[in-house]
Amino acid sequence: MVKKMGTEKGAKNKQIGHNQVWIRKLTKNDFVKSLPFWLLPVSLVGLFIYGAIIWNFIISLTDLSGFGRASFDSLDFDMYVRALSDSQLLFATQNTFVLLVAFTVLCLILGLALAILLDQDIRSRGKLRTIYLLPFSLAFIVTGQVWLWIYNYNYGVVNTLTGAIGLPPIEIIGNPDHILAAVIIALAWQFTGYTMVVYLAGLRAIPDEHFEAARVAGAKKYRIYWRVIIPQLKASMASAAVILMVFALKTFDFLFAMFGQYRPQVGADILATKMVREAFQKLEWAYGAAIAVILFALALGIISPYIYYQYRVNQL
Amino acid sequence: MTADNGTGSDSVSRRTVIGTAAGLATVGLAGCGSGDTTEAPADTEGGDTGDNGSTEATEETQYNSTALEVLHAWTGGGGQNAINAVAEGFKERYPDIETNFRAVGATANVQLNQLINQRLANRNPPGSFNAWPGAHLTQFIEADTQILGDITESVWAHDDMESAFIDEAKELSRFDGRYVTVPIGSHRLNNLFYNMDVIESAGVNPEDVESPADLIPLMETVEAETDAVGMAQSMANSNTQLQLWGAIHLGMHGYQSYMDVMNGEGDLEEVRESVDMHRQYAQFFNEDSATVNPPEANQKIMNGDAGFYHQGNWMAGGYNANDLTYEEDWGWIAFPGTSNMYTLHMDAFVSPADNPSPEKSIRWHRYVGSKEAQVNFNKHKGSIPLRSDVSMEEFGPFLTETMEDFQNVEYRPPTVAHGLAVSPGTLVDLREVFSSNFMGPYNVDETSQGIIDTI
Repeated sequence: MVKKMGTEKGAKNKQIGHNQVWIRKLTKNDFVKSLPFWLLPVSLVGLFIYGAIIWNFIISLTDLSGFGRASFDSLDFDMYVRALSDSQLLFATQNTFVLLVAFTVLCLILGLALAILLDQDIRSRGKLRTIYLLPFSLAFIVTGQVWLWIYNYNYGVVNTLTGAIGLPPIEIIGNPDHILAAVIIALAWQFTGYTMVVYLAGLRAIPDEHFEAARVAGAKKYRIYWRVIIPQLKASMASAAVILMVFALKTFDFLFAMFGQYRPQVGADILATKMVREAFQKLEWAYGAAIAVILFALALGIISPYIYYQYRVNQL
Repeated sequence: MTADNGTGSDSVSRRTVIGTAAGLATVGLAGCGSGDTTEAPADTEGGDTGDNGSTEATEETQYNSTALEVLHAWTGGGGQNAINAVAEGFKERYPDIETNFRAVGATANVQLNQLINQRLANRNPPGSFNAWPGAHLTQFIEADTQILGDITESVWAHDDMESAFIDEAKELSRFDGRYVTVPIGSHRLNNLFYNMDVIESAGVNPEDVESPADLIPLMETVEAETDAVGMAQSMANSNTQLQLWGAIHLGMHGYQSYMDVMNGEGDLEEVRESVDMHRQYAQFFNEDSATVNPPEANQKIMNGDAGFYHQGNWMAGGYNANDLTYEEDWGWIAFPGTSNMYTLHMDAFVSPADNPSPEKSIRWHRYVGSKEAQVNFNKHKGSIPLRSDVSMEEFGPFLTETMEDFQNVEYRPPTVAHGLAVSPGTLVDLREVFSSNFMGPYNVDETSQGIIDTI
């Protein structure tokens, strides 16, 4: 009897002990211990970013337009088919690509040139660096307006200069062949300073010894840069390029600041402006959402090689 | 002493912040609660007809706590003075109604229309908003749910308003027998303004011009004899190009052809001809047209940098503001070929369904339709009232002439560029046609085909 009770008690103790161990195990578990640190941010990001992306994708499969409510009975890819046959959209995509490539390349080249110059032992280079970086601190509305004045047909700086050297005035904003280049130059002006700073950080990280060794070996200065220094700036170049390209994809705010409307002058229409016009002016919500998905896919296409590269070199 | 002041203002500002936050919270709560009260009193109140506005103001009316929010497009110049005059008059008549007038400006209501679309799509309507009546409102009418409120009984039957308004205004405000909006004023759109000095030194007489083609030799003479360009034009937005094409088409092919195009039965060859005429006009435009907005283009008329300018009669507001005298510094004719027409533009206030402040909104729309509001608004705005029973005494010679023309012309075609003739989706597409093909270089074939395909 006593023995029996004893064993019962023992079992109970064992049970309690088991629970305690389980709780102790749980509290010691890394996953549980880390919960308070990531649960809130992850759920917020999940809801507001990934949730919104998924929701947007679902809407692009409906045919929601006007003031109705979405019907989810028949989901299909009609909007994407429509996108493929929309000549304006294809034109906007083409412009988006031209802007993306030209703007990024221009910024990378100018930024590299400036960074190398500023890395030389010249007087007051700190101040010069600030001067080049200043445009980056300006709001788009300021940059847009200033460049609109620079390009003005009658009193703009560009036509004042062409007049001074005896050339006829150039129509820039009103000419579909010039306008995209004009936008790219204005954007590059704003972002070159930023690219330069990224390069400068990379340059500073290169030990002086590399330079010294190359010089001792008798290499000319430009060869030192070309063979020794620039190859070591690959990482800086990659991270600057990704930021610039993703920015170029969503230049919407700059164009809006420059033209004050969702329809830039002909020749400068990009996917982002087209998307806003479809959704908010024509109330073609589903079509607008489909353009947004296309834009998202393009951005993803640019980012993912970079992320994969970072993963390969074990930086992620 | 100064330190004391410093801390004093500091604490005040903190208190203000807390107060504002509390106020916002209250507004938020009020906004949530108002949904319950929307339906109930609207019709019962509207039923007691026959009272005029002034006695009604002293009546005990149960308003909910939401302020009357009115969205409009007039951010500056005559438009701003006009809406301010109406707002002040309304506050005088209804001192116990809290109001919140919000201006959202841009060429051709682009920004305002978009904000309203978003608010209505999000089921968060304002108490009242400014829009164009007619085809522009079809997007709301054709929606699955009722987006606009029926104000036939509550507003139009009140004080015998319906019989006081002109027929065009009533037709454009009514859909399937229901009134949803109250027009506040009308601009004439087929005006061709000119600078007197330029015209005189070029030695041309616009009064002789009878068709759009007749204007071309005049513009040639202006460019040959003076430093001015033949025609001022703004192409910062393609809407002005669409508008000019509309005027040229009316002038070349008349009312019926224009209406056929607007109803989707246009003749491609006729459209081609008017688009081609437009292309010929384009060689007389100012070179910086791509970057100037309509008021800046008007500045060229005022400065003598351009001979002619086609715009709505709202541009006269700019001349008045700069103390330029009608028929001395500037003059106008009806756009060539349209002297028997008044291209109709109209502004109106619309009452959304599920109104957050239904009773206040009814009072506001009644006031918009009153003689007082129509006179105060239009004399500042440079437009004409839409009631037939107002006196034109306060309006000056230019507007009196406009009013007389309005009553005497044969046709009143609705404007295409300002939403009366085509639905908003079509209007956006038409602007795209001009943006893509007709903002220099000018592609006549693509543009005319685009117009026919779009409508």
